[in-house]
Amino acid sequence: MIRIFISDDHVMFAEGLESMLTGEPDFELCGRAGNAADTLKQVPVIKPDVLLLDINLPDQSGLEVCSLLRKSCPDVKILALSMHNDESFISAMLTHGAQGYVLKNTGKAELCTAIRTLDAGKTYFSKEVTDTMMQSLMRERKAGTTREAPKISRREREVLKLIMDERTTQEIASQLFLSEKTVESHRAALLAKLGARNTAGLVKAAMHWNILNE
Amino acid sequence: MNIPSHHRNILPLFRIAALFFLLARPVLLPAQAGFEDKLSFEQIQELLTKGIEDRNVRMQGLGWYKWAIYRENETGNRDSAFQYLGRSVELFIEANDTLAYHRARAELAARMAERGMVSDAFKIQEEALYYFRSTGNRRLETLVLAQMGRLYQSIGDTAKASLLKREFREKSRLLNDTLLLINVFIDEVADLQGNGQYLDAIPLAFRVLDLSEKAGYSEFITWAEYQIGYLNEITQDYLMAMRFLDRAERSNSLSDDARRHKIYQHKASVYAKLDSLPQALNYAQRALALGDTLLNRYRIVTSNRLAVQYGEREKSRLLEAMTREKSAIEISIRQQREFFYVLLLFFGAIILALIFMIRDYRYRLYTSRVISQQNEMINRQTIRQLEDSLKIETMQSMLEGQESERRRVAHDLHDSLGGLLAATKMRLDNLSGKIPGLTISEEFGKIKNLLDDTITETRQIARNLQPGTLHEFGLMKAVRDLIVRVQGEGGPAIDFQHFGDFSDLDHTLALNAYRIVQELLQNSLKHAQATEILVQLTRTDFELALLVEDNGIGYEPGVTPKGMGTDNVAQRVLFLKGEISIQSAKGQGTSTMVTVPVTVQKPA
Repeated sequence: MIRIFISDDHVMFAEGLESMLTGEPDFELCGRAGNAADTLKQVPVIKPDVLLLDINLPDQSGLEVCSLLRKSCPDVKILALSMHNDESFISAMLTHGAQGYVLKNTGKAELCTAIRTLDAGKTYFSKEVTDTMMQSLMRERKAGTTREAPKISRREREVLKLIMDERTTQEIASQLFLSEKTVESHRAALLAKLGARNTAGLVKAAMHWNILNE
Repeated sequence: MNIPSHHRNILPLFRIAALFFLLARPVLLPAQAGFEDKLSFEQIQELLTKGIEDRNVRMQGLGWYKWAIYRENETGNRDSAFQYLGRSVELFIEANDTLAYHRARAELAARMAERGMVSDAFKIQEEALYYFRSTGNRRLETLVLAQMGRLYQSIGDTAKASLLKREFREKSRLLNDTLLLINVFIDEVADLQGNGQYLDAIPLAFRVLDLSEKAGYSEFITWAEYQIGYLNEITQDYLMAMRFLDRAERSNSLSDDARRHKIYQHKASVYAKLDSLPQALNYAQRALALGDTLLNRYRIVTSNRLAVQYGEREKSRLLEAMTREKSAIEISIRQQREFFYVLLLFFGAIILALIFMIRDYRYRLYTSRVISQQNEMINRQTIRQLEDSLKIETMQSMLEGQESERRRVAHDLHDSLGGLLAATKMRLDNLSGKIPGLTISEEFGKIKNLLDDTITETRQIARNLQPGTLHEFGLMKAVRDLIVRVQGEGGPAIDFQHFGDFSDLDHTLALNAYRIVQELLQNSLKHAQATEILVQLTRTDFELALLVEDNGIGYEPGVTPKGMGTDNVAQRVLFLKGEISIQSAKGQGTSTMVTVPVTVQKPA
C-alpha cells in the first residue's frame, strides 16, 4: 500500500484529488493539509510514502516546505503539483528535493503512474514539464557552449567599431544619432559581454574573438 | 748769516704776503667761461640778479666768486671774500660744475691757510690737484702745485715744499706759460732769498721784471722792482737799490698801502746808508705816517667790514625776500594749478561715476530681464517637471493599480479557476473510470479536450497577467521562462544574453523591466517577421539596460506602427526615469535599447 498525503490549499481540488485516488486499490490516503504549517507539522509524524505538494501554499512557498521536509524526513517522496509549467519552478523544485513534477491538469492515469513511479524510487515528470525542461536544456546547451564568441548586437558592433577607432563617447553618439548615455550603456554592455575592464581590454577581446570581421 | 735782523723778520712775512698776493689774483686762474673777465660792480650785480632770476646756479656761483674777489680788492677785506667764496663753492656744487667748484675751493683754500686752517687747506688743494690731474687740466694742476709748494714752505716743511716746487717748475716749463714762468721765478727768488743767496736771486728778479713788463702784469712789475731794490739793499748796492725802490714807489698801485709802507721803510733805510739823512728821515716819517694810516686803515677796514657784512646781510635778506616772494608767487600759481587739476579730476570722477551708473543701470536692466527670462524658463521647466512627476505619479498609481489588479485576477484565475478546472477534470476522469462506455463516447472525449484547453488557456492568461517566476526567481529567470515559453516551433530563434546580477532589483523595477522586455519581444515576434531575435539584459552598478534586437523588416522611424505597445513601453520607461533608444530602418531590423537607472531607493 502506498500511503499518500495531500497538501493543497484549494479545497475543491484537494477533494477531487482524494476522490480520484481512493478508487485505486494500492493507494491509501493518510492525511491532508491546507497550508505549509500543517504540512510541516503532520508529515514528519505520519511519514507518508508520497507527498503531493502544491507549490503555491498560502503561508509559505512550497519550495521551502519541500526543502525542509527533505531534511527532516528524507524517506518521504515528494511529488510537486503545480499550475506553473515554468522551467524555473521545475528546476527549483528539483533542486529542493522533489522527485517528481506534475501539472495540476494532469489526468488520473498519469497522476497514478507518477505516484507509483515515485514510490518505486524513481523520478517522474509529466509530458509538458519534460518538454519545458528539454527546451530549456537545449537553450542552455546553446548558450552554455562557451569559448564561442559572445553574441554582439548590431548596435554594439557599430559602437565597438567606433571605440576601436578611438572615438570619444561624444563622437560616437553624434555619429550614430544616439544619446551619450545610450552609448555608455552599449559600452558597459560590451565590457560585460567581453569580460573587459576598460577600452583596452575591449579592443583586445574584440580582436581575440574576431568579432568585427564576422 | 749776514742778513740784517729786521730783514729776517720781514722775509717769511713777505713770502706769505707774496703768496697771498699771487693767490688772490683772479688773473692767475686760467681760461674758463666767465672766470677770466674782470668785471665791474654793475656787471657783477647784473650777473647775480640774472643768475637768481634765471635760477642759474652756476651763474650765481660765478657772481659770488667775482663779488668775493672784487670786494677783497676794493676793501682789502678777506673775511667777506671767505664767505662769498664759500657760497660760490656751494652753488658750483649745486650747478654740478666740478672744475669751477675746485677753482673756487682753491681760492678758498688760500684764504683758509691764511687763517691758520692749514690742514683743511691742504686737503682742499690735494682734492683739487687730484681732480685737475685726472681731468688733464695741466695748467690748473701746475698752479695748484705752486700754491701747495708755497703752503708747505710757509709751515716749514721745506722737503715737501721743494719736491712740489720742482714738480711745479718742470711742469711749468713744459707748458711754457708766462704767468706760470713768473710764478716759477718768484718761487726761486723766494728760495734763494731764504738760503741767503741774494746775489743769485737778483737776476731772477730781473727776469720776473722783464717778463711782467712784456706781459703787462703791473702787479708783478711792482713786485720785481721792489724785490730788486730790496735785494740790492741787502747786497749793499744802495744806488741800485734806490733806483729800483723809486721805480717801485712810482709803479705801486695807489691802493696798496702796505707795500708803500714797506717801500718807504726801505727807502728810508737806503737813504740812511747813502748818508742822505734828510731824505732818510723824510721817508721814515712818511713810513711812520703811513703805518698810522695803515693802522687807521685797518680800523676803517674792520668797521667797513662790519658795515659791509651788515650791508651784505641786508642784501641777502633782500634777495631772500625776493626769492621768497617769487616762491610765494610760484606757490600760488602751483596752488591755482593744483586747484584746477582737482576740479578737473572731480568733474572727471563725476562723469565716470555717471557713466558707470548708467552702465550699471543698463546692465541691471539687462540682467533682470535675463533673470526673469531664466525664471520663466525655470518655472516652465518646473511646471513641466511637476507635470511629468504628476504624470509619473498618475502612471505609477495606474500601473500599480493595473499590476495589483492583474495579480489578483491572475491569482484568481490560476488558483481558484485553475483549481476548479483541475478538480473538474479529475472528477471527470474519475467518472469515466466508474462508468464504462463513457470513454468511448465521442462527446465525452470532446468535453475532456475542451476542458484541457480551458485549463491551459487559463494558465497562460494567468501567467501573462502575472509572471509567477518573476516574484519567485527574479527578472533574469522570468525573462528566460518568457523566452522559453514564446519560443515556438518554427518561430524565430531567440537568443538570450544576460550580464550582471539582477537579484537585488526592486520588485517594481523588475516587473516593469519584465513588461518592457515582454512588450518589445512581442513586437519583434508579431510584426517584424524576424528570423533572429536577441534579448539582452545588462546590469551595471548604476543602470539596467534592456536590449531587444531583431533582423526583421524594420520600419521607418517616426511611423511606428500603432498597436505595437510602444506607448506602453514609453510610459514604463518614463515611469522608471529611463531612456529609450530605438533604431530602425526599412529592411534592417529594429534595435531597441532601454536604460533604466538603478538606485538603492525605490522609484518615486
